[in-house]
Amino acid sequence: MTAGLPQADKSLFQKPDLFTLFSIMIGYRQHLRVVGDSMEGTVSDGDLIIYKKINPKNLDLNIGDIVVASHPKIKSKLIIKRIYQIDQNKFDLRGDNFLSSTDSREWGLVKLDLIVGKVEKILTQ
Amino acid sequence: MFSNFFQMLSDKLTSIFKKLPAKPVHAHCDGPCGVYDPASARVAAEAVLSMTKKLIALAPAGNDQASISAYNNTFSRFVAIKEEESQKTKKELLILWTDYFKPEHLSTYPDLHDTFWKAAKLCSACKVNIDQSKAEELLAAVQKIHSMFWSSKGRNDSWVTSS
Repeated sequence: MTAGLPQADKSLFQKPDLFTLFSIMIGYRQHLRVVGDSMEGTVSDGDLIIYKKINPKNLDLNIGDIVVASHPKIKSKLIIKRIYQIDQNKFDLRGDNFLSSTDSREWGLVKLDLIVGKVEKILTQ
Repeated sequence: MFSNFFQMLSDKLTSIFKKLPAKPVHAHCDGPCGVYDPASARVAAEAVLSMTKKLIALAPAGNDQASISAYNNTFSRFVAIKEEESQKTKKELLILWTDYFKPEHLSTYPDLHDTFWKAAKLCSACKVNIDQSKAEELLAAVQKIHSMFWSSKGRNDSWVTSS
């Protein structure tokens, strides 16, 4: 099974509730600003995303989820991509704007330990 | 009433939150700038054609030693520039071919690989020879790549040459 791209989950775009905002303040969730257009169609340049770090003991990653991951070649750089396929805890990550995205088509599958978190909210500009 | 209050509070906090600084998460290619443009290949290919024409037109001013020396000097410089610009054209084309274009583009442009391969070969031919027809073919190939590139971005930028 592969993800149909782009396929934005509408709940991602709902405004965060007070609990979500509070959870960011206490560090339970994180927020990042998107730079670039490889997720255009779902996430645009300048949008703010809220993500929750993954728990390796209780993995909740599925095909179609948007994730934050460390760049396979530059570990200090965070990237945002969608899970296109999963193969034994290795992830095929792709950008929704597949014509201008550098992703698993070039890097190959991304290991679980590079997946940082799962995007829960997208705040458009 | 309370739900309205919390909704308003949430909306207000969200609008403030959206303006707060945040660390970047990248959604772009490895470029790292992600800026691609066939214009640089076009300028180099134009220079190749220009130098080829100048080389064909070049002749010694006379038969004396000074004229021959001046001719040899100018000829060598023109050849060096032609060589350099041909290599630059090839480099710029290879960047577009290997970094910008993706396997998905092949369905829209089935002759993509053939076009780039022939264009790269023409760059070599322009280095090896002083052949105006090869230089014109190269410029035409770059024009074709220009059209492919901009149409892949949903644009229809016109082809404008400097010379």
